[in-house]
Parts: sequence; structure tokens; C-alpha cells
Amino acid sequence: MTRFVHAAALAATIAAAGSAASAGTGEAARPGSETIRIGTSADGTPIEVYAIGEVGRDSYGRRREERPALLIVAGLQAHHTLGTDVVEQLRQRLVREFDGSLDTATIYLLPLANPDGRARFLQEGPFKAESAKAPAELDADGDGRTDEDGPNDLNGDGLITMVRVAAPSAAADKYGLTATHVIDADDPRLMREPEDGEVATHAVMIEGIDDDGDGAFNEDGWGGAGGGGTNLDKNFSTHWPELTDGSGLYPYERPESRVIVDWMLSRPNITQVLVYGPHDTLGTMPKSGQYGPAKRVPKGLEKADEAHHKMASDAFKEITDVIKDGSGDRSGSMVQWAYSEFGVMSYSTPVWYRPDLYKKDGSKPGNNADEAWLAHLDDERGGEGFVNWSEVQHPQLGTVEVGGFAPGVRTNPPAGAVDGLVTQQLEFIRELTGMQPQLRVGEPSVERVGERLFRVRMTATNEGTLPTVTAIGLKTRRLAPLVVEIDADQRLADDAFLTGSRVQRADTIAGGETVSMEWLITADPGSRVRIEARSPRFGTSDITIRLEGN
Amino acid sequence: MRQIMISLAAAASLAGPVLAQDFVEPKHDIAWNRYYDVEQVHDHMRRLARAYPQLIDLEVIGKSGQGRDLLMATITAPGDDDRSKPAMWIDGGIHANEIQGVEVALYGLWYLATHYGQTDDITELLDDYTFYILPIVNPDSRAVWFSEPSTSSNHRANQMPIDSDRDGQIDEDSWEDLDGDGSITQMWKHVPGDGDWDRDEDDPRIFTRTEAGKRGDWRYLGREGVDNDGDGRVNEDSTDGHDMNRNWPGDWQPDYVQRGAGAYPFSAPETRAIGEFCYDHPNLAAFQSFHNTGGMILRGPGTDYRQGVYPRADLRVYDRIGEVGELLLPYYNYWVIFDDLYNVHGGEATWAAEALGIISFTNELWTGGKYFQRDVRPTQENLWLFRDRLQFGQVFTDFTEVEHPQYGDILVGGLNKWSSRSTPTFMLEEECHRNFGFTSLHADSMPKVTFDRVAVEKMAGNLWSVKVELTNEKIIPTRTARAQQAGIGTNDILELDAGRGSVVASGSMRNWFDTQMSETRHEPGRVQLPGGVPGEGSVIHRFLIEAPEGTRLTLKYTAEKAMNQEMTVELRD
Repeated sequence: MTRFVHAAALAATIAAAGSAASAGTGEAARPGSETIRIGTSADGTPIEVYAIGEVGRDSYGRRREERPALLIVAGLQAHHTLGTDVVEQLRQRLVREFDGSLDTATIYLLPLANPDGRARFLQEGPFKAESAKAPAELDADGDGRTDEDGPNDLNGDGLITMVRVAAPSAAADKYGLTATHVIDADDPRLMREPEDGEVATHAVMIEGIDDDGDGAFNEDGWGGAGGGGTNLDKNFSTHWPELTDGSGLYPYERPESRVIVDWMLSRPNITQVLVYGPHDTLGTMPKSGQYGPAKRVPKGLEKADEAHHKMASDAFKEITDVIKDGSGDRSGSMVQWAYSEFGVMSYSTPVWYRPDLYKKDGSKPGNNADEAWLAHLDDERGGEGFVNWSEVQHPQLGTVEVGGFAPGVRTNPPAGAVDGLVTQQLEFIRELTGMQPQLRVGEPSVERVGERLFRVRMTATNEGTLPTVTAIGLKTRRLAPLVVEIDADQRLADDAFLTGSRVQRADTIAGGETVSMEWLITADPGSRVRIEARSPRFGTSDITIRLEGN
Repeated sequence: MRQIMISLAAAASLAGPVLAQDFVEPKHDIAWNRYYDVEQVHDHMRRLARAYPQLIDLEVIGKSGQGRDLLMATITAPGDDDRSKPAMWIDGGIHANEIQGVEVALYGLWYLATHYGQTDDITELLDDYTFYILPIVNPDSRAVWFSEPSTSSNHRANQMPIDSDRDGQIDEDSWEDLDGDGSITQMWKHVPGDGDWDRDEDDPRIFTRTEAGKRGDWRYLGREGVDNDGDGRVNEDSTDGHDMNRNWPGDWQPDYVQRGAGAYPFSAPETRAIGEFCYDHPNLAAFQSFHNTGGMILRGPGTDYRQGVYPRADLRVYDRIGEVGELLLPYYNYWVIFDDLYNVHGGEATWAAEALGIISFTNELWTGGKYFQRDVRPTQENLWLFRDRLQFGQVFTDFTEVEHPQYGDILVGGLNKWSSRSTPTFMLEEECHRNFGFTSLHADSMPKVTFDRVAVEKMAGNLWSVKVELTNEKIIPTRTARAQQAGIGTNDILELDAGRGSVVASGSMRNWFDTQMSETRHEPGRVQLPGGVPGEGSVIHRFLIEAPEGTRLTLKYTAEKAMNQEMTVELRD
């Protein structure tokens, strides 16, 4: 008597998107992996999602687009290229060797949110610089000129590193540069803040000149101190860092961030989001009970979601040592939007980080971060990744030294490390998909109470671990509840229902919890009654029962 | 007798026909004692554009959710580049039930077009400034409001399909016009001794709440409609969607903080179209949107925690315009949204103020004070007098008996959609005109900057001093304190091209007769003015130039929100 009817809107969206499945990208035609083109970047590069999971119906009667889904997003911040590299491998290994369940969960992989930024970051000439931004023509300093003062490659090594200049000096004074650092006596590569009793001797800034002669260095251009485009991870609406460097003119001004949000809003089956990027909310738990100025929108977690987040965090820490400082400002970030507005459990990890740089308790190593990075480069990369300081004649500052960490070297591991990181993430993904809520709508039962009196019972069980709707989901009111409508054709009289509303709903069902619905109905024996259990998120079931029995 | 004849003739010849009376013959006339649906408004705009093609350009700046045109008029003096002048944005009807905002915006277009070249003040206004006028922000809901049964308060939102009651079905339980009067009025059930309302014995149109502790004979059942989806609730999921006046990226907050906000800022195609237009027009220097009701001239902020984005210097400008507005608009109050009204996150007018950095007002049209225009309280009795004797009962539908599928026999009727919030039609022209008066005052406050004074002085040998004063005669600065605070837009720039010579130093001066200047350390020949030119104030800058006598210099002032200025100066002792 039970048959499953699939939400027409969902099916239609998938059909349309599915037609864009690319034939030229090798793995796309593999069963269980479909490439969906969700939009294009400002420069016209496709933004794609790989939908991974068994295509046919699962034991719940659901198709891939109705199963609870984990979405993994990478490549929001241009200089974090690792995320995209990991996701591209995940796509193949998930289909080939994943030992988690792909028939009760769907995995969406969004490998590259910011293709324009990645292209700019990886571009060899005229130089490589470090920036999170999607490049765009911008007049960041409001002087009527766009992108006129980005960094400059002063030492001709093709990399933008740093300039250190002795201060005070006449040249430094002219540009308002004040000394903030000293050269470490033991390791002259290391610029560090002065300790007690020391006097700062050098000013430090990004490698470049004052191109436009306005007295400021590198204030308007990609890879410089300001301007150059928009950081997609500051362009989401949650606690949007209004009109600050990289925020964009308004949330979702960038087509990339908007496309992602539009697509996610059309995918109500997404129940968890994992962002690969510089923010860490797994090695270090986000705080609860901190809100924005309207006092309702969380900056971290809702208290009642802490336990769910901790489950993910604990599983993560079993698998990897990746801990970064979790207290970073996530204003305008995708991960905070996915939690605070989209309303599902959302996590972020840099995937790789210097394991010993941040202590297990999350405390900062403070002044010694650069020292630790240098040690890492020496120990594990043969000293690669740091440009030794060398004297350069600066057109405005005279004799200066140029050197420092190569772009991206502190966000991305040595190439050989990626395979192992993918293996870790596969394990973590198995844990996350194992936590998914799994809504099972039971068969209704009919009990004949009197000659024309029937009791109908029905249950819905969450066979998974996470609640169908988390605390933040309940707060946002965005995620549809399970709605059970009996007599969906409205054939019976309004007063036929002696107990139980004709339309009942379960706003959330906790992991392992069963909710039951009951109606006492007066009707002619033999009446057929249609029950619709609607979940725009996880599919709709349509059951017709007969009021009969002894 | 003879003397009189002569003096009349003299008066006529001196005055000329323009001063005969305050009337110009429009090339396209519009009746201002009635309301217009979407097509009629667009038709008037097209006819105006055909009648005044040298003044008006029409442009579809976007489409509504249901594909209707967002038809905007640009009006400025003939032959002028609209972007070369400071401009004012005017719109109406973002809340479609607040209908008269559309007529008020359209009136502005009509008045400007018909009076240019006829009335000096209007001619000057269009010579100096541009207006972008979008009378209908929310055409989908205006179409529904006019063509389908409505109340005075519904179709505030757009027509975005949303599942308001979150039951997995979209727009399945809207209102119904049970008595067929074209309005959604009220439903009343007669329940002798079991109600909480009583019906007035003298005037059966009036229901009053039963005194505490007593039982009444009537129960109020809400707005006209039935329970379409059988969930026990009536009218809980109409076609109305998001409140577009909560959809703007200025302190936007999600729906669970700000009801109606939409999925994200600019998620509505209508707000996005306006936003993109405005970001693309940095010459916008003033903003006005029209709503109803209550007689208010509103400014931001929309919440207490946004007070910091309205710096004191800007508030002085708001106050000067708003306080005159209270005189031009009797019974209107110049109010602050969060302080005097309620909290608004993501509103349009506050967005313009905070994101575009310009002076921005919302007017709430029509107020009870206008009924009697003196110290007579709009009591129930007085209101009925007004409705009967001045509106001839047109805003009321008599109660009739209707059989309701859920409630049985009920009474349906009451104040209809034309009541309460819209300006009574015979008073509409005055509403339009007074609000245009206020809007044009705001427009006329936009910056007007000229090179006021230039002084050339030979200092020694080839060293010259050129002192220049840029003056803004209007009260709005070329860059508001908000624009400066948030780094919005481009700084004003004052350049001196010394030709064969060179600018060796320059600096700003507090007043014309100072001998000391505050040096511009970098780019002395291209001076950034992040604060622009203040309202009713000036910027004085001194350039030191090395050049031979007779060199011709070019002074250039470039600004987003003032007309660019250029002049040449010759170095002569």
C-alpha cells in the first residue's frame, strides 16, 4: 500500500541540472557521480558540484537528491589551493573505495568556489602573491584610480614576499613607516616583535612600491595591503563585515557566493556542510552564546547544538592532528552562514596545518609562529618556501631588504602530503555521513474502535544520529518540518476527526526518537483515506489506507 | 477712468502671461483625484515621455518576479548627460497596498516635466540636477491589489511563492471575497451571549468590544476567507511573499530576526535591480521612497545599534531638511525610524543612507490629522462623519449574510480596501503636491560647487602661489560624513595642471587669509578631498608652482556628487 512520490520540484531541478553533466572531464560519466554546473564565475569559469551517491532508490525509497546530504566546499579563499586538490581526489576515491554508506547519504562536492582567485594565485607571471580574493577592478582607496598600487616584485624572484626597512630613517619617516620588529639574533631570517628591553629596528610591509605616489604602499591591488577584489569568505550575509577590505559592496555581490547560496537553497536535503578553508571549527570548537548586534544570530553555535558539533569535532580529532586557532573572525564567512542562516551543522577545517603550531588546548604560540614555520620548512621542506632576505634598492625607500615566506606556503602542505590528507578526510566523511539524520515514516495502523469509529496511528522515526532539524534549524524556521496530512483529499467532513488535527507536524525528531500521530475518526467502514507525509527535504510518502477491521 | 485703463495695461505688459496664475498648460495632463493601476501608470509615463522627449528618458531597469517591467524615468534638462549632475532617486509602492506612493512619485515626474521652461525654480532644478523616478517598485502586488479583492493592508509584500505556514504546500490558503464586493473585508458571527463584541444599535456598521466581565453577542472571525487546506486555519498561506523593504543590504538580518527579510539581501529581483542601478550611478546624492501611513518624514537608523553610522554632521543636514518638511507637510512628523516608530533591519531608505552614503528619507503618506485639519479628534463618530459626508460611503461595504463552509451563517462586510490607509481621492492632489514640494526641497539641497575665488601671487622668481576656493552653496556636502567614514565611492579630487611648470608643494587652508597651510605631502598637484566640499561651505587650497610668468594653469575639480568644474588661470603678477 505504500508508494513513494518524489517531490516534483526537486526532481525537476535535478533533471535540468543533470543535463549539464560534463562529458569531457573524465570521471563524470561514472555511475554514482554526476557533475552539476551551478553557475559561472565572474570570468566565466563554470562552478560545479559533483553529486555522489547511488542513483537508485534506497531502503527508504529515496533517490540521491532526497537523501540527507553532506556538502563539502573548497577553494573559497584563493590561496587555500589544498582544499580543491583534496576534493578532486575525494571525488574519485569516494566512488572507488569509500567504505561508508553511499546508499543512505548523498555527498555533494563543490571543488572550486573561487576559480578566478585560484587562477590568479597560481598564475606564474608577472609574479605570485598571496591573497584570498577573487580579483576584480576596484578603487579601494577612493582616489579615482583602480588597481593602481598593488605589490611589486622588487627582487625579481617572481614572488611577492616582504620588505624590511630600517626605521626610524628619513625615508621611512617620509612614508610614516614606524619600526615594529627586530631581526632575531639567532636566526636572521626571523622578524619578530621586540622582547622586553629591546627596541624595534625595522618596519615590515608587503613587497612593493608606492606606484601612484600617494604616500601609501600597495594599498590598491590584488595581493597587496588592500583592494584587488572580494574575499568570497567575507561576502556571505552572516555578520557581513560591511564595507571593509574584501567584503564586497554588499553580500553576494560576487556571482560565485550568490550562485552557491542559490543552489544550496534549492537543496533542502543538505544536512551538514564542511568547508575546506582557513577557518578551523573542528580542531577548536566554536563558542556558544555569542550573537551579533541584533542579539539573535549566532557568531558560533547555539548552546543546544554544541553536543552535535562536538561529535563531529571529536571524530575529527581522532583522525587528524589539524588544529588551528579557532577563535578567528568568521564574519561574512560561508561556514558561519551555512550554520546561522542555512541552519544546518557546519564545520570548517584547513585540512592541513603545522601540527605543533597550535597547542591541543587551542592556545596560541604567540610570537613564535614564524619561528615554528621556519623550523617546519627546514625540517620538512629542505628549507624551501622561504626567500632569504637580500638587499634591494627601493625607488622610494632607498636600501631595503626583501624576503620572507613564499605565497601560500603556510596554507598548503608539500605536494607529497596530499594523499595522506585525502585518506584522513575520507575517514572523517564516513563519520559525518554516519551521523546523518535518517527519517523513516512508518506504515499506518488502523484499529476499529466502534462500528463507525476508527483509530489511525502512524509513526516517524529518526534512525540517524543528528536531529532532523538542529537547534539553529528550529530557530531559523527555514527547514521544513515533517507534515503529516490525513485525508489529504478532504473527503471526510471536518467534524469526522474526534481527536488529532487533520494536519500534524513534527518540527524536529531527535536521533533515535520516534514520534507518533494519532487520529480518532468517525467514518463509513471501508472508507479509503489518503495520508500524505510531506518532507520537502527528504521526500514525500503517499499512503492510502482502508478504514476497516473487527 | 482713463488713469485706471492705463495702469491695467502697464501691469499686463510688465507681468507677462507666466505670472498671470500658477498654471501651465501640460502637454499630457493627468487627473490627480484618482488612483492608477500598473498599466495606467506605465501608460502615463510613456505619454509623458512622448510629450516631453527632450526631458524624459524611459528605461526598464529590471523585471519583477512575475516578469513585469520596472519602468523608470530619467528627467533632466535637455541635452544634458544625466550622470554629469548630482541626482535624486524617487520611488513608491514597494509596499503595494500603500498605493498612493506611486501617484506621489508619478506626480513629481509630471510636475517637473510640465513646468520645465515655464517656472524658473523648476527649470533651475533640472538644469542643476537629475531625477531618477521609479513610481512602482512592486508591480506584481500592485496588479493584484487593483485587480483582485484586497484589504488596505495586504499585498504589502511581493508575490514570491513561499510556504508561509511551512506545511509543504505553497500559497494554498489565501483570502476569498465571499460577498463579491472586490475587497477583503471582515467576517462576523452572531453568537448571542457567547461573544466578545457588540453591534451598535444606532449604527449597525459599528462593532465595539464588550466591556470586561460581560458577554457580547458577536465574535470577530478575521478577514474574509475560508480554510482552503483544511488545517483548521484561515488565510494563513496567501500569495504574498517577502517584504521587499526588509531585503536591502544595510543591516540586513535573516527572517528569524526580521520577518519578511527574504533569503538574502537583494534576493528579490526588484530590490536587486534598484540596487544595481544605484551602485552604477555614483552621481546619486539624494534618496526618497514613499509609503503610507501616518504622516511621517522618516530617517534612519532602523535600530539603536546603527546610530554610529549616522554621524553628527549628517544629522544636521537631515534635521534641516526634515524640519522644513514638517512645515510643508501639515500633520507630518519628522521622525527617526528606530526611536519613534519601530526596528527595521534591511530597509530601503536606511540602505541608501548607509550603503550609498547619501541623505535619504521615507515618507509615510496620509495621516488622521488630515481628516479635519484642526484640533478635532478623529473619534469613531467623527470618522464615520468623514466617510459618510466626504467619501459618500465609498470606503465601506454593507454587511451581508454569507454561508461560510466552516463557520456557517456569518456577516461579511466593513471597511474596504480604499479605507484607512490611502489618501481620500479628493485630497490626493494636495498630498502629491506637498510631498513633491518636500522632495524638491531635498533635491535642491544637493551639492552645487563652483570655483568661488582664485588668487595668483608671485612669490619670488619663478615661484608662484595660486590659492583657490571651492564653494558649495547648498546644504548637502559632496561627501557625507557617512561616505567618508565607510570609504564609500571616490574622493573629490582637486587637480592643478601646471603645464610647462610644476607644482612643488600644496596645502589646505582653514580660511582665505591664513598664511599657514596644512601640507599635502604626496601628490601636491592632485589633491584628495575625502570629506568633499562641505554643505554651505568651502575648501581652500594653495598650490606653490614653479613656472615662468605667463604659464597657463588648468584647475580641475572632479566629484561624484557635484558637477565637475574646470578653469584656466594665467600666471601674471
